Amino acid sequence: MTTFEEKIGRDQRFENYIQSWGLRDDPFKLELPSIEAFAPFQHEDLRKLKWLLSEGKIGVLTGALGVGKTTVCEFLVASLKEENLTAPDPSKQIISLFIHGAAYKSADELLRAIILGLEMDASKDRASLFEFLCRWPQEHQERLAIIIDDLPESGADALDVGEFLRVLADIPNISILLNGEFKQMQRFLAQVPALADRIQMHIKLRPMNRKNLKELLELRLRNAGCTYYNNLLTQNGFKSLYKLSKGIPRLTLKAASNAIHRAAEMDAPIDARVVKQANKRPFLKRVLPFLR
Amino acid sequence: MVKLLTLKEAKELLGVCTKTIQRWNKEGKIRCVRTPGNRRRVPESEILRILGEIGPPPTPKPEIERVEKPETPVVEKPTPVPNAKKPKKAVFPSELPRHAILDALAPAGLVQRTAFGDLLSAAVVLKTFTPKDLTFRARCPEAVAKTFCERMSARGYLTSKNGTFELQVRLVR
Repeated sequence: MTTFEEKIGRDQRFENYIQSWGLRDDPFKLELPSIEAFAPFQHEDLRKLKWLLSEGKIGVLTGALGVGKTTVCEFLVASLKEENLTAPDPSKQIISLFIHGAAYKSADELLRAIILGLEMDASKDRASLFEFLCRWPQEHQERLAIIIDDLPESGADALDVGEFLRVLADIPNISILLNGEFKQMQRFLAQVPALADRIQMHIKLRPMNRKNLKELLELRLRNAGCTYYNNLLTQNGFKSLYKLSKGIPRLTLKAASNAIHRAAEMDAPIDARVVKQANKRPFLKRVLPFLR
Repeated sequence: MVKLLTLKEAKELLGVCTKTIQRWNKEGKIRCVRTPGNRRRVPESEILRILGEIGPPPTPKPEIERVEKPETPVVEKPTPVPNAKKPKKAVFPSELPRHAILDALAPAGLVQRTAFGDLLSAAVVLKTFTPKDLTFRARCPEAVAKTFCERMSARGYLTSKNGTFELQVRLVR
């Protein structure tokens, strides 16, 4: 028990509620609880992205806010790391790096972040660091997969960073996956046509339809240990969640998490009334949704 | 770049009190540099010299130069050789850059190197841990965590007591 729990106490009501439904934890947490948390309809995109990263190609992953781009990338990095530790042949290993692109303001910083990600000495001069990457195919059997999250948000000089990535993309055995919001990514790539030309795959994640969203929520409930999930999340409760989130997974999970806490307070299943009460929105935001 | 220590750090290393270091500085037995805020900082080389770990001391220079320009935070001021008795032997905390520690662990390839890197980050956060704690935090197989702990211990970066390891090295940039 943590000090906080000792002093303040645990939310006994919520814990009793989830236990009564056979759940171990809040099933709608935003963090990806396990590899199994990806619904079957997402598997195709994941397969394509993994192929891209294993073939030394350059690709782009875009989508609206909250559709799960970063989650997909984090999942790819974690699964590649796991595979590496079980694959003894270095030529089949893919070293994956996840870089928060928004934090780096220039190609130089990005280069050093890549070198640091490889646990190498990044204090050398830029030329030697770049040389290290250029010699990658000659000196390393492993492939390198660089996943850069939210790169267009960094405010860096697009030409500087774009040209650096273009050169990097031409090196065999190095693959790059750029991830960002659709319009921002388009603007970024428009400034570096040479990089845009080299992009071999463009995957756009879209908000989920009703069927897929239901699949995702049921999967979350099943993974958390709930057997009778249809009784916990009622049909009208689901409809209400879908209407509220418009199929965006982050919004759905947030709304569902609020709803399960509210349901615990009311000791009732998650139905439309609970969802609405848990996710009350001010009148102005309801009538003018762009204020969100 | 010269590493500068605060008087507190210096006194622990030299095994003397702060007043003694201030007196030595006034007497010219140890050279200190001043920050723009007029605080003393002791160059690491001075500590090593006094501990007898490096060659002859620098040429004496009685004048103390004050730092005037704000853009240069500290300026080294050479001072005369101390004639003081050799202080107690102090142990330097091991401070190494991350890549140097990983080099010393001799990983089999880049995959193991990055896995060791993850484990090192976990170890720095936890300070005292078991291989299982590292496995949980770095999300890697326990066998890799055990190898990491063994190699770290063999190089003196970890000490072990009842199956729990304690980190003995500090990371520097």
